[in-house]
Amino acid sequence: MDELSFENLVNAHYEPLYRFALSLARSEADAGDLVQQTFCRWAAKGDQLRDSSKAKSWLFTTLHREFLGRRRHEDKFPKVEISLVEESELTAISPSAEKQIDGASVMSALQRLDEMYRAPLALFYLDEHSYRDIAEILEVPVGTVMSRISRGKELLRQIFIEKDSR
Amino acid sequence: MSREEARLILQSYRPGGQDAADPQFALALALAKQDAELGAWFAQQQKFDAKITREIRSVPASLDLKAKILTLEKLKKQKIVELPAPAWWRNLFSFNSPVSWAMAAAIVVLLSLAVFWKQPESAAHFVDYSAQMVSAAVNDTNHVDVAISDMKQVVAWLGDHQGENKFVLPVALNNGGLMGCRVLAWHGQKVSMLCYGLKDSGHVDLFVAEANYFPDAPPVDQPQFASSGGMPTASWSHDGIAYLIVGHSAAADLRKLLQPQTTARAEMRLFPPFFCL
Repeated sequence: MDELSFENLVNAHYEPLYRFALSLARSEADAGDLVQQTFCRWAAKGDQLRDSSKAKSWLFTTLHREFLGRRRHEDKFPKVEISLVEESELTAISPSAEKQIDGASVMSALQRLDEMYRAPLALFYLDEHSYRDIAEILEVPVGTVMSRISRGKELLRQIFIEKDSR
Repeated sequence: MSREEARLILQSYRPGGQDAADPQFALALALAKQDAELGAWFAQQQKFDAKITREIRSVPASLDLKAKILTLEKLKKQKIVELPAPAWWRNLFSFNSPVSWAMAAAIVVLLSLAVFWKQPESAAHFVDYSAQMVSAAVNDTNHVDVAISDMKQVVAWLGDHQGENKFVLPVALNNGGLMGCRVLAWHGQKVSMLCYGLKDSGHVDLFVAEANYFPDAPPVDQPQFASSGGMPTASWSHDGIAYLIVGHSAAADLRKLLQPQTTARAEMRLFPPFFCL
């Protein structure tokens, strides 16, 4: 891949990739490392990809694999236990709680979720990928993605509701 | 399809409507239109999802990192590939020839004698030093010991590792672009290397060592442009320190890098314009 197309690739996908990394990682530094490593891998191996339309999926899949690979060598993330209540028991987010939601609080809430829900939910909210794309990126069945998005959303709502009730 | 099944499916429907054509959603969407409760729930979901999407997309992505990624790729493109040994040298030695082995043994003996008798000072010629530093400059593995972009931290790190850190830099090397540093040893002397990725001049490496070690140290404040191992170089001395820059781009870029800087004060138009750390 020539320099221009690499630059185009970075310009097209850097921001969503960074946000995805930030939702997965614990810090901006870790997110930056993930993004940089992903583009380095592209620079080294990206030209082996025959279908250029798959570049976006390739980047997100590579970043996710990189994240999982690093996690295996680290201690488990400190997770906040969130009880899995039934959907029918959940109350709606109050307008005041909704007003308080901003980019930082969304990232913070996502980072509290188990990775099982965090990755599909972050990809869903980045609005760049359909659930089918997400299944391909995360290398899980479509049905699994749908159920994880559904459950992840409920957990995310619960975090915002809990935050509002404090 | 039950209401619960429709809910599960509709949770994956993006609020921007990009999934409207996906047949997977058709039945669930139709049910949401018919079922008032499901419809209300779906509208609330879409509103919440739209809000989260807006917020997550508003999170700023580091521009510095993006620039760094683009710069690293450019540096990689400029990577100098070491050339194979010249054919005459490769053909000189044949493993099957006893003559070759005899020659090799003789060379080893001569070299041993030369090393034994030679005064260390006589080997410290700047031209040899330049060749060795060029070799270090094209070394891709362990190119720098530490990747630091802050000059103060680099100076501190070099000091901690017994590297030369009392140097004065050309203005062009004090405007960012610092990517890391390294301490090398040459003839028992520590040499500091500073690696830069510059917007206009590309990848350059600056080597700093004590000038009095070289009998033929480069002239004071008069950069000498040359070429070593196919790489453009520039060298000069200043206040007892010998400076060597190895460029990874064209020689013209290196000359441009060291061009006198126009400053407000005429007496400052000395070459190279320095700043003191």
